[in-house]
Amino acid sequence: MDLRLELIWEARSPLLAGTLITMEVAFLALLVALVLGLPIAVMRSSRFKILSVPAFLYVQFFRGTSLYVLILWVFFGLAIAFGINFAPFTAAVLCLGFLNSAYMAEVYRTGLNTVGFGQWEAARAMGIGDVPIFRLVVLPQAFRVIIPSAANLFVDMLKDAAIVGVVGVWDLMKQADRLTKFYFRPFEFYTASAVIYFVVVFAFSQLVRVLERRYSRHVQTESV
Amino acid sequence: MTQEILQLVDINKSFGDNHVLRGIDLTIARQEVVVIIGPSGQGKSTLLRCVNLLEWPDSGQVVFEGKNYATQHSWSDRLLGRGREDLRYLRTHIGMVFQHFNLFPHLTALQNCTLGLEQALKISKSEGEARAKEQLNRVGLHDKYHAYPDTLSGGQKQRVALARSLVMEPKIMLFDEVTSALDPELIGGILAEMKRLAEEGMTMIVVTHEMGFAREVGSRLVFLSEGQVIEQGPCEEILSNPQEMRTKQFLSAILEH
Repeated sequence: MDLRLELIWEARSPLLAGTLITMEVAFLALLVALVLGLPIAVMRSSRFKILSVPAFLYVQFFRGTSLYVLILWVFFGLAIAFGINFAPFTAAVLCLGFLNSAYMAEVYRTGLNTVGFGQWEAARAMGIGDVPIFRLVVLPQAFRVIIPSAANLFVDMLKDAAIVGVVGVWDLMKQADRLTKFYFRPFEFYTASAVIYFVVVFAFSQLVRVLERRYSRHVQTESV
Repeated sequence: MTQEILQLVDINKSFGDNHVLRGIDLTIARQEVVVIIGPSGQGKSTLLRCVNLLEWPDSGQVVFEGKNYATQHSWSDRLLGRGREDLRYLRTHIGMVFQHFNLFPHLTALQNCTLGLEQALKISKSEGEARAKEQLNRVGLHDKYHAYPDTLSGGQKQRVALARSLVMEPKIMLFDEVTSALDPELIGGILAEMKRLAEEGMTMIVVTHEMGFAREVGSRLVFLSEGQVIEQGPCEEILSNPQEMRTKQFLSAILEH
């Protein structure tokens, strides 16, 4: 078997462009999930049904939806049925973001639940309002718990973003597909894309470790 | 100087079917140290938490310096945040120390003390830090400004919690079984701090099982059982000569060991 690894180098610029697109889609979708997930999590924990029930349904709906189906439905379905036309990139970011905001909400909720009620009480007893308590006391503690799960979710999103090519986004996978067909070299280009995914995820994991350490400064590591 | 600072009038509180407080009346004068004793789970903590409205009484009044704060707000009032300023005023003037300290683990000792100053009293960071250091020095933690709670002993944590309350310069201090979670050898230190505070003229409401503290520092003892004040009076008198049957039973049970 003759391997023609030099082709990968030759095609480096479309591969790099695709990698950047993949990272952009995943990163922007993460922002969407982070922003939408928090209010959903707060609503789900509410004792008022008018807030908790819609949030529950939201989470169930997106958890039960396939990204592949959703993205086709948004991009082609909405366009033909209602004349709502999204650019491929926008459709990809929104679908990936909304879908994962449901998972992110659950991650937030778990994190927020680890902060005991005593923390609220101690801060309230000092006359601090609930909004600053949430921002300055509860969220920073919840973040420590949330970071590893949120990082896992992001890694999944990054890999799930491999399907956004179906609506015409020139992500890494779509570039690899095109190159495969052009050179008729599936092994080289699929291997290259696998390695690129791995490198991106690995680099990201290292970044997360730094974040984790930053938010865990107060936790004693050695036994008392 | 025996002017009243706080009045609890006919306080009722239920949790579901559990009627925890049944019409409590209690008046507290400036500089008084009121010690509340009684069996567990019969309303002592709830009563204390009604004073700063961490629990909102179902009915009754919490009158602080002549003004009732436990007014029942309608939904629209709450949504519009009416009464929020009153609540902030009440809570910044009444300090509370908890059984389990409830320090903020992600903040240093100093930051624990400055959070309330900055957020509730809108005091600048530099002035806040100066005041916080003063209080931490007072409780003997001058070398622990930048320590996180996890690195402190139980006694040190409780002293940070005390400093965190005192830094707000409250007019009343509430103590909710503050020695119960401490090792026996650490209890004395906290009680000494509380005694000093009482001697400086702080008005205090103390829920405790430390009868020695009650006898030595308390100006009045209140025996609470089944959500009612069964008996109250000067500490020494009640401890040595209780009038009510339930007080006698309770005291003999805890003084036996």
